[in-house]
Amino acid sequence: MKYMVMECHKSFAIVLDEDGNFLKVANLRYQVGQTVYDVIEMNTSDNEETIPKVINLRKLAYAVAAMAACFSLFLISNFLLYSKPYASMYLTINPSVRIDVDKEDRVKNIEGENEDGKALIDGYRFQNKTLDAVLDELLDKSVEMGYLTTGKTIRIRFDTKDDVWRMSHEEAISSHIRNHLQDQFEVEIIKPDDSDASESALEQSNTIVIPVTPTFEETGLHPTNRDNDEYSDDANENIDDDADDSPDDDVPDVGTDDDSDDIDGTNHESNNPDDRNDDSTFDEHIDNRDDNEDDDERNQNPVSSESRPPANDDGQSDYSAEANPQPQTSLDADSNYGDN
Amino acid sequence: MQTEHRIIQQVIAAKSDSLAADDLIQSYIPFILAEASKTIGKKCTDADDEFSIGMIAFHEAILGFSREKGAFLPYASTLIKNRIIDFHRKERRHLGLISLQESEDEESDTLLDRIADPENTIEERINLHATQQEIEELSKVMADFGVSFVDVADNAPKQERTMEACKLAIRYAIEHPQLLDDLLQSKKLPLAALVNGSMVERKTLERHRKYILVMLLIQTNGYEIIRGHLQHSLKSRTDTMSMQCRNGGNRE
Repeated sequence: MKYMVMECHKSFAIVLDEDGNFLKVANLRYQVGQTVYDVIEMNTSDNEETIPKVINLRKLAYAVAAMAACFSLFLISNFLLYSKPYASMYLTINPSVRIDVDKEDRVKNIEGENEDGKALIDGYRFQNKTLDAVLDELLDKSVEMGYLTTGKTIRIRFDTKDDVWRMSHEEAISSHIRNHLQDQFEVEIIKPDDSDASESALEQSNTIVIPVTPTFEETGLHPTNRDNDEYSDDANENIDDDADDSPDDDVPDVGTDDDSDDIDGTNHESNNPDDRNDDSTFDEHIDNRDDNEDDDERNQNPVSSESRPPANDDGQSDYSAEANPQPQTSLDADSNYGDN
Repeated sequence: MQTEHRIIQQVIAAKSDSLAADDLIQSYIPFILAEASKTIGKKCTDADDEFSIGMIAFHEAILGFSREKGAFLPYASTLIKNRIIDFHRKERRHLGLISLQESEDEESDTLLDRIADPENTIEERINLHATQQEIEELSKVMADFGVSFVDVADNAPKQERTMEACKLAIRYAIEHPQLLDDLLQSKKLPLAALVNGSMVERKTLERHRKYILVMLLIQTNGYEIIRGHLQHSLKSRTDTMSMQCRNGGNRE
């Protein structure tokens, strides 16, 4: 831009630019009539008023942009949070199916865990359906395809980190399935391994079923058992009953029975070497334990026969072996060791 | 206290009068030099660009001063400092360039001496002289109308849209030379005719009547050089542009 200097004052000059504007500029030793190119324009009050307006507009634009960004971030994070599978449910009849759900119980994905499971979900559309609806339809479909017949057991297992969620859903889903199938089938809830780890019985087998009381009451398979549970909580009587109607016995009770044996057995074995010899080497320990197992089995009967009437079963003998004849068995073990 | 009061009065008076401001600046030249020297870190003389910038900053301080916002001199000192810093920032862009005055060694010619200088010919000097005469004559005629260049600079439209509206009126006058003759004879701006002819609101033209007056005077005979300088702005507009401008002017 060219500027023609029109008037010069000490502190400023007035120039005329090519667009017909008269400007006050810094007088860099200008001369009237001179044509100059770079001028330092004076900020008049009018200019100063316009500048803040521009800045405010820009600030407003930034603020709006920032707010929009925050809002979209919020939306995206929300979307991700809710669309992410939150828990998995394993439904096992014979076809085994994994159902992934989000926090709102919407089904996100279904996968067959075995061949039958894949066949079951083949062509099934789960999109935008709730867990309950999908379960109903899958169960109906498995009845249709002949997988689910009367007397079969439906196993469900939940895999999630949220214990509260699992607790509430185990009850709700099992009762929902029962309602849906009019109680024709047994529903088992399989808890994850890490819960109730203190009980060695569970560590023994993962697939063992916890004798949840509602299961018994609702399936109503064992009226006698239920009565006994109500009348007495004593372990001895329970075990006696179990021994009596052993042919009808169902899986859970047999399991606990075995386990109680195991518990006692391990105690028995582990007690003996500790009492016996502190100076023996580890290898000897192992050897002794192997030997002692046989010895114990042999010894148990005589001991129990001594202290108890012969009619008593195994459980009783274990209790007595723990309490009373320990010194005796250890003596026996010592003598055996000496013989070897 | 007494002196401070006087300076405030002077500043307030200088706000509306550019020539009074000039006088005030004249008496504060030592202050401006001192502030400029502080900012550039070396002694500032009145031959330096920084001095001119300091003066214009002082002028801005006079215009921007308000009694409520505090003392004047600290405000002026801040403005001077900021302006000079701004100027240096702008100048830094040219750091990579070499100076025309520079020479390879002391004796040899400078770059300026060796290249042909088209602006420094005698012709240019004559041109400059002619321009000066034109401007002098114009300011005399303007004085007859009671208008100075300072007034015009203060009165010139700042907004682009207003500027376009004024130009519409000016262009209408150029197309009707009779109006210009009337202007010179009656010493009155034919506002009514301009409003009717250009469809620009009367208020807009009235507010910038001094500016329009000077622009019309420039269009009368005898100011070929200034007109040549402005030619670019008034003739490059197409009709469609002017239509748009007219709409804008009406809305205002």
